[in-house]
Amino acid sequence: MKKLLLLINCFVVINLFSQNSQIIFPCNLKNSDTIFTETGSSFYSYYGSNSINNNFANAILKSKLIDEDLKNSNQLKKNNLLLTDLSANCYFVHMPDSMLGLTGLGYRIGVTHKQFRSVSFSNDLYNLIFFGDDKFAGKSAVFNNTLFRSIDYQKFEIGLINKYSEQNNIINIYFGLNILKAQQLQTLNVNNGQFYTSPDGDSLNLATKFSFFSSNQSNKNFTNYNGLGLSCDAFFSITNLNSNITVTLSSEDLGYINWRNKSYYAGVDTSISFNGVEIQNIMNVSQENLNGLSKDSLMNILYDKNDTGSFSLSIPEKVSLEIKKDFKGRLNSIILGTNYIFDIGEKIPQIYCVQVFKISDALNIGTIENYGGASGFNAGLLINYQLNNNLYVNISSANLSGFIMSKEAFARSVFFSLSYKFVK
Amino acid sequence: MKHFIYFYILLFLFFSCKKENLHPQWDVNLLSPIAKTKLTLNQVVADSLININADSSVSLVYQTNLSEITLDTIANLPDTSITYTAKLNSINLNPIVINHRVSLGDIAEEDKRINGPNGGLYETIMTAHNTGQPSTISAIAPMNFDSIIVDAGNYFQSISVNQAFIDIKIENNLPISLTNIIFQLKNKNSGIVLLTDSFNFIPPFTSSTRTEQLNNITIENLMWGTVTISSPGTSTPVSIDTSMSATTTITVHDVIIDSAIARFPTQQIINYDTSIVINAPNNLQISEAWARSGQITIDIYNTINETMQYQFTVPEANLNNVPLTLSGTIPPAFNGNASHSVINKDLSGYKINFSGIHNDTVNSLHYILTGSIDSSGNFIHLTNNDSIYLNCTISNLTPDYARGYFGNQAVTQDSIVDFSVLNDLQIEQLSFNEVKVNLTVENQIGVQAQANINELTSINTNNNTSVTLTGSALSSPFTIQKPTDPHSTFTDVIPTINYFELNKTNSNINQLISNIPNRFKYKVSLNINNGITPPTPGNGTDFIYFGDKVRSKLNVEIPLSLIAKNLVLKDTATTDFSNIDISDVNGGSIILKSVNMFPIESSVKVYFLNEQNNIFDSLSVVPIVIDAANINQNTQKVDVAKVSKNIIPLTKDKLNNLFLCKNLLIVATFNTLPDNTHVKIYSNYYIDFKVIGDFSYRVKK
Repeated sequence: MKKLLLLINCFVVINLFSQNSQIIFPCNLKNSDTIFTETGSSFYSYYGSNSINNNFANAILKSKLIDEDLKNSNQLKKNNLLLTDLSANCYFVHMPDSMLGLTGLGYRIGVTHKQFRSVSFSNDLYNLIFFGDDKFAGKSAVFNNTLFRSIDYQKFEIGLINKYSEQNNIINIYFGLNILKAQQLQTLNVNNGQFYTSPDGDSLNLATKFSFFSSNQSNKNFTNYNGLGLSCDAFFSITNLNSNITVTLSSEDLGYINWRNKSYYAGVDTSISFNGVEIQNIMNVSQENLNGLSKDSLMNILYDKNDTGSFSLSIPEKVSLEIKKDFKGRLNSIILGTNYIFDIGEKIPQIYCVQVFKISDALNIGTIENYGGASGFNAGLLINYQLNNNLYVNISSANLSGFIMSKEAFARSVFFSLSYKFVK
Repeated sequence: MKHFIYFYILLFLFFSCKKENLHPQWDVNLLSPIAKTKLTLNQVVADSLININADSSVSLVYQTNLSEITLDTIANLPDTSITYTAKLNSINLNPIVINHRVSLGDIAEEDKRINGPNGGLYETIMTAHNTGQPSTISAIAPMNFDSIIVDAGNYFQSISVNQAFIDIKIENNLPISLTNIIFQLKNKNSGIVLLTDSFNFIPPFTSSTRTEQLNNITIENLMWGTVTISSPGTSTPVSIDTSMSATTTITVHDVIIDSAIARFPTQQIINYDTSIVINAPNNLQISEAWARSGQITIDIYNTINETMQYQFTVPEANLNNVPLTLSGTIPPAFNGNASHSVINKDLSGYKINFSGIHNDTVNSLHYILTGSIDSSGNFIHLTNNDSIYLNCTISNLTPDYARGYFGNQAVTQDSIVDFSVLNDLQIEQLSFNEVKVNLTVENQIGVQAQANINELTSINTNNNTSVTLTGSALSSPFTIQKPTDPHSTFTDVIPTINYFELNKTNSNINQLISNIPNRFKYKVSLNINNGITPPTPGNGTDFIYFGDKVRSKLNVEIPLSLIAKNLVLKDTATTDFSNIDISDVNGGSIILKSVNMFPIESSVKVYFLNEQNNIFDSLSVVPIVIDAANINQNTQKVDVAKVSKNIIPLTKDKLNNLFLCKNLLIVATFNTLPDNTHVKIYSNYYIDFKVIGDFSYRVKK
């Protein structure tokens, strides 16, 4: 059995702290244990968009043919957002009876892999890319404030946990410092962008101002090193035993990465016109050099060897606030929370509500409703199961509709966590 | 615990190695310019064929060479030979002089022989001689002295003379007169009397000469001479010396020999200082020529058994101020065979004056020819068949420069030349307005001439049509002016440019050009020095330098003011789309947008040709039409360009065919508008083309 648990532990990540929350806690705080050792892992994958449905996203991910129906199935907004977030984590927590002469103090070490993609784009840009410029004849496709970020990095986490009681309150504080190993980055920030197609199609004009950051794209695998960073995680939770209300505030990945010398950055403010390849002598076409505006010439505008170097950029930071009310009875708890990712300029934070029902001592099932962030309204489920005194499993998806009604859904997420906790 | 760590690491790596490998595909509709170009007249017609007029209208100009007349057509110097033969009668013998003396003593002895020593003339003479006392001499009866040997053996062995002269001189130094002197000479062997002569009276101490002519007689080297003398004596006593004598001198001279065996002295047998006339054709009068190339050859045959020296000099042919001289030696004949000598000399660089000995004529080459034989001192047998034969030839004389008077001669040139301005046209109707054709004659040869167009025919071999020139132009000669002589082979002659215009007034030239010829047949004649009074010999100023020519050219100026109806131009363009990948292009259309300033409507069809140049597809079923621009009726010019838009559908299959084809056959049909109105083409006319693609394209990330 231990072996099976160990095997499960290899492939499943545990949401330790509060298995019902949308916040990734530093450890499992169930039963208010103060002296314990815990290990676990979690896996979180999220896709969300306020306009691109899951069907479309799946076709992209599975390299399928995107037909006209699929292109037209999205519900484009004035400002479209798309976000994917993947993280995989494993950790070890030790809360000894005392550390450094203090009780309630412990430490946590962990490693996390983060893979974050976000895009903010306009209708015009979507139509231009997926339908072509034919429908923009005589007009400009505007794509101001287009943002694209793709970042992969690994975190090596070390932090301190302080857990103590005060009057009728149980307070948990975690502060962790992370060393970030940069894997790859591509960030595009288009301040101004217009692509004009003349009515007859006899001229094209691109006017754009953008900044672009990129790590060395020939060196972007998991084991490649492209820079170093620092971030910190902070967690604060206070539970009032009288009211059974817990307020939790967390900040994740407040920090930056310094991308090293072979990285590339560019600030471009340009206007390009294309009126066709000029043929000097129509009577002798075979002698003409008919290389017009080529991909290489366009990329040369972007890639200039003089602009390679190191730079520092902040990484997406997530801030969360949650209030939980515990109940005695079938309704175990209600959680109301909000989180916001500082990245692509979400209009509103994500607001969620979780209702947890106690099925048995070992099993809780909850419903999740959320709205905002990078997506619209979504609903999901969570399952929290305690296998034994030590082993906790949590499976949830805040966007279950994404798996059931992929054409209508605009988000999809999955969350697994597994923790093994043994108490002295 | 460590097992957990290992498994966590594996788990971590598993999820962290998740790669993004996205290759979605979708179709987009692209509207994009592909190519653009501007077509002007300069790209259709070579710049060298275009002339912009003052009003910016365009004319096509074309020049083709017709004929070239060079040196050998006008000033041809023929080969010339000088022949001379020196025969025996040209050879002289030295005068033969023979003396004979009869003294008073000889007379006394003869008298003693006849009359004895006593009481006669002998005694008188001897007594007077011995005593020294003057004495009278009685008359002497004819006294005969014969067997006088005359030996000319030092001169000859025998001579057969055609003619000779013998001078007989008697010098009487006796104190008595001589009378009835009879002289006779005869060959010793043959006994033939050569001559008999007499003197009637020779006073004392005087002389007398008689000359006799010998004809056709053979003289032997040994002759007998006989002298008979008489004297009346003297009644006056005279001093007497037996050495006193009468001398007979026989001189044979001016011998014209038929044959002889004789010793000939060193003598000049040829001496000519004369001139030879060059037989120049066409009344050519050459005063001077500078030889570019040529050769002089002297060929000598000698049948005389003596060495001959010769020299041929042309005083008026100089190279670096040194006259042309050839000299040499020809050996004696041997064993009856004539000796032969040939000598050559290159005439290159020689400046030759053909003004004759006195510099007052033309075509006359002054030369001096001398020849002499050396005397060997041997007896040489000569007959009147013996001779020295000399032939001097001037050949292949090509002048660098020639001056004189080139006569009045006509040179005609006719040929067929290609005309490539309006090639490869199919046309229903093409009419040009105000075509101008010039016949240009560039003259570097120093003559004045009258040029005539005898024939000019335009030939269209495509349509098998021809139009021949008619009009007053055919009977209107024009003058070709003479250029200036630079008098130097290092300075080019600046040619005179002479024009003759063919226009609609003097000919039907418009019709010739409207025939759209690809060839011209012509016949042009040049009448050199026509109507020019020949100058006095030596004063001709016509000249010619080697390489200089009279070039005639046909210049055609076609103002692009034309009516064209269904003018078809075809062109084949080679394609190479091998580097272009169209596999992701689903099809669509090509939009051809044209902005046309030409008042010419065109309809274009493009055909795809395979490797065998066979048509297997076309760009579109209907032609591509480019509308003509409208002409402003006031200015007769186009002010505003006409915009046309042609949409050419291209399916995937047709697109594939386009990119597979090896060549494109473009057939364009042009019509000027308005109909039946000449439209002028101006230099600022153009057509702007833009090719725009409206395609469905498969995007593959």
